[in-house]
Amino acid sequence: MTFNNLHQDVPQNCSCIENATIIKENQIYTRFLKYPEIESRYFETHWEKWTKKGKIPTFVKQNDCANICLYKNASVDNYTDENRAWIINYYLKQFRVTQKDKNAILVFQLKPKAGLIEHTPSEKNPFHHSFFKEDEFSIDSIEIIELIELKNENI
Amino acid sequence: MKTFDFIEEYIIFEIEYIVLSINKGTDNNYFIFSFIMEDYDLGELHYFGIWAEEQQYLDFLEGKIAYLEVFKNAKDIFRIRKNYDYQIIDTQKITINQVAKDEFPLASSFFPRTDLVDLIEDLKKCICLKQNSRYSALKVAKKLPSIDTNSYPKKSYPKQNQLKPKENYVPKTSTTSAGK
Repeated sequence: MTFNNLHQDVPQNCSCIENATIIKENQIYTRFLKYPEIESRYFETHWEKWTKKGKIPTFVKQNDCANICLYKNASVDNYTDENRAWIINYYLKQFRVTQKDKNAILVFQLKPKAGLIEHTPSEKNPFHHSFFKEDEFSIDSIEIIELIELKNENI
Repeated sequence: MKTFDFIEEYIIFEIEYIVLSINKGTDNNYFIFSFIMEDYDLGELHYFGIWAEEQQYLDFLEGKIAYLEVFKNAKDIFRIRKNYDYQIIDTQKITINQVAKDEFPLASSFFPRTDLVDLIEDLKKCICLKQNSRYSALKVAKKLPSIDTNSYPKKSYPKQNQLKPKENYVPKTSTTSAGK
């Protein structure tokens, strides 16, 4: 696995993957999708959205390593039988406020060579993980289990 | 373009982007940003911004009313465009009649009881709110009831069997092969 794309435009003393580990087998993850109909956007990072517009986020100029890595990773959540209801409710919070966006939950497994992963819990989400794509990552690097589209009748 | 000066921001929901946040203004008022949609082509995030009535704001935090009610009773509503850094690009004052039907929050948009404990802890840490007597969110936190699930609106989730992994699953909307 190589991570040249990940470290492009990153300050030399900043490594986004120094605490990331290899992907465990059989681990299921979820990711919140805004464009469930377009697979190429499933794992698009904030960084990629910015650079596609020919722009660079403000904090890059400030050499803010933590924020740069935050924009370079794709947020995923660890998904188990035990936290299933919590995860679904967590995603539904957004839908209740903003129903206009097409929202969906992707349930999937990462293949071993998809990239590296780091458990990065927050106060509001203890299951949050940062996923760092390797250079050759594509939709074939994941095993899709289910795509749950959020609709009014789910609420 | 109208600009807003805030001295504190409390993020209530954040998934991918900030979905709902309460912002304290310099004149001790509270301004709520709520996410509408992402304009992927332009690289912009669209938000509503509302000045909330004090009682509405408090009732929302206490779980008495949904965000929908706060929104409908807002003193002023703005449609705001931000970039991915949350910097405001444009602000437009609108009326409730200019809000599209599918842009309204759902009737179930209650402040989640699961976030109540976090909110109270956050508010205790927030010096600016402690100093504010008129809109003291700390006071609100103190008088919030203990977590009683029966006092909150019932929520239902997708049925369990909808969430079980399916073998050889191919999304209906997919145009390429998946699950290889």
